[in-house]
Amino acid sequence: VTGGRNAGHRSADFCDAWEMDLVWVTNDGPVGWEKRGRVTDMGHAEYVEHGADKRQPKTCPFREPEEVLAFDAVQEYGLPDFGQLVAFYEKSYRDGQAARPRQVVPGGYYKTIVSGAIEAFGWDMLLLAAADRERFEKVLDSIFRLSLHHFRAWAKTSIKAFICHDDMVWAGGPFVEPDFYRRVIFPRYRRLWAVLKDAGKKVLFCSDGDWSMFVDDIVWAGADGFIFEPLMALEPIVRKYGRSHVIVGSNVDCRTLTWGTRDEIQAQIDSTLKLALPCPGFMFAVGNHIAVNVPLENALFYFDYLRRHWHRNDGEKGKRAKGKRGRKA
Amino acid sequence: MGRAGSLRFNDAPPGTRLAAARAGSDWRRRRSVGAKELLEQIKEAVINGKRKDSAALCQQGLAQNAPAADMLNLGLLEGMQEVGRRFRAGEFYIPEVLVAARAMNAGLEVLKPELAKNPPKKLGRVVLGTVMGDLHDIGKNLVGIMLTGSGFDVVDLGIDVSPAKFSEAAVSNKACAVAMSALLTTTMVNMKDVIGELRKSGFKGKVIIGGAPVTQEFADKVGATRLAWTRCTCASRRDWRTPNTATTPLSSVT
Repeated sequence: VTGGRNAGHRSADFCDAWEMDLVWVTNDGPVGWEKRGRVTDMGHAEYVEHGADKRQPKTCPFREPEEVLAFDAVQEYGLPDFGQLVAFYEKSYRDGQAARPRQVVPGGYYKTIVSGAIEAFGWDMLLLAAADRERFEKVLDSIFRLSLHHFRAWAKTSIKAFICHDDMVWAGGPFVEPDFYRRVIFPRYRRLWAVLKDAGKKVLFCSDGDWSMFVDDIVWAGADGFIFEPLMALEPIVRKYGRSHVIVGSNVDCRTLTWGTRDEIQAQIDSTLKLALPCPGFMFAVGNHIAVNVPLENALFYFDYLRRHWHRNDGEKGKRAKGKRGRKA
Repeated sequence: MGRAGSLRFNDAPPGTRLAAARAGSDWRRRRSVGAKELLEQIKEAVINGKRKDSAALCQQGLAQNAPAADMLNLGLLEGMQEVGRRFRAGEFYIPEVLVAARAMNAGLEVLKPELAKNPPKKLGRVVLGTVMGDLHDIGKNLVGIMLTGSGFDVVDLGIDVSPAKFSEAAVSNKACAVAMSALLTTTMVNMKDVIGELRKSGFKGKVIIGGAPVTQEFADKVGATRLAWTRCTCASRRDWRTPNTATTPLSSVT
């Protein structure tokens, strides 16, 4: 569900009322890049009434691809004091978990590699620079080195799970050839995640766009689970990895929630539940979020129907088999 | 010059072939080998994204009295057509398209003063923009690049464009098509308002919609002529002639 960032305790109450299990959260440190060096625009929507995006797009401070290719993220933004960083992350986790005691509050990092490049350069300049793959790899490596510092700090905290976010592909798939991902990006994910996994943290990978073709690579890199958008081919992935990996997603599409009929919403829930049944666990999430323009009655229908059907045994439908919350599929 | 030795017109935009052939025939007759080489070099400079080379070669062509229309249609635009083909074939990716477009534009800047004296015929004019409330324009920009590279005149209205502005621009520019995109599910609904406004104004051209959340079903529902555009399909002339062909939504930043 998007929004509610400043809603304080009401947001926590909402999470409880909707029986949410996982809070999607990332934290890239106490000081934003914009205060440390040059940044452009990640392109995140800032919703106002009626769902319009009214953020102020920033101008890219890099005028030529050459400037991007000479960029080093560690030099530009610097590495924060490690001890202070660990303390900051630990506090943010503990505060977040205390505010939402009935949800899993993970650690997380947003600008892992590609998203870091988007934040620094914006897509236009990033893509122009990426035409020189060899030198662009060095730029991405510098973002990786910066991220590694933060991942090491997160590994020292008491989090149980970690969301690694990186918008590495587009809706149409990879923006450069798949070999580049396999040679440059995924081995670096593996090194980043090894730090967390060695410390006993579970790593959930999250990216916008369609990365169906890379799921095996993400597993190779060490992800314990995936957070999906509706562009992903959910069924084959759940069939292959649903028993061994955490799946956060569903066939329910926010466009259906916004404009679809109840039958259509119900069909998407049913098809996901069918997929989820053989899995030891499954986290139901609406791809692309439940956005601000989803009619309330559709959102309520979605949740009510889901809650009535997420139990494994139909005979126990509605029963609270495990404490107050029942046993979800 | 015999047929076997003539320049290839196969991939040049159809509306521009005749003008290019007429304007450049003397030059090509006089300097057949050099002309062909120069046009090939311009084309290669675009394909390889060599901005400085593209500008220098166009400058060289002008110094040799080569028709600007030839260099545009048979050099720069042919280069972009090849880039589009390789992109659709998965041989090129988005960075290659962008650097090629920069190379094309660098050559175009050199040719502009000459082209202004005798403007080449375009395939048509397309009005382009993101719908009101939506600021995501990388996909829209790519579409503009490929439309330009295919011989269309593009009027880019930018981002966050109101239905009235789309409509006014379509009418005042005598556009053959309006192309609009949205990345957000919250803003894609505004396409319907744009189409309503266009129809109210009497606009009879094609309406193309695109963006990550847009589907063929949605296109049909809002009354768009067609859903465009992935892998530059909106700029593929074959697609352009089959207006209701469903294609995958445009690759977009999400």
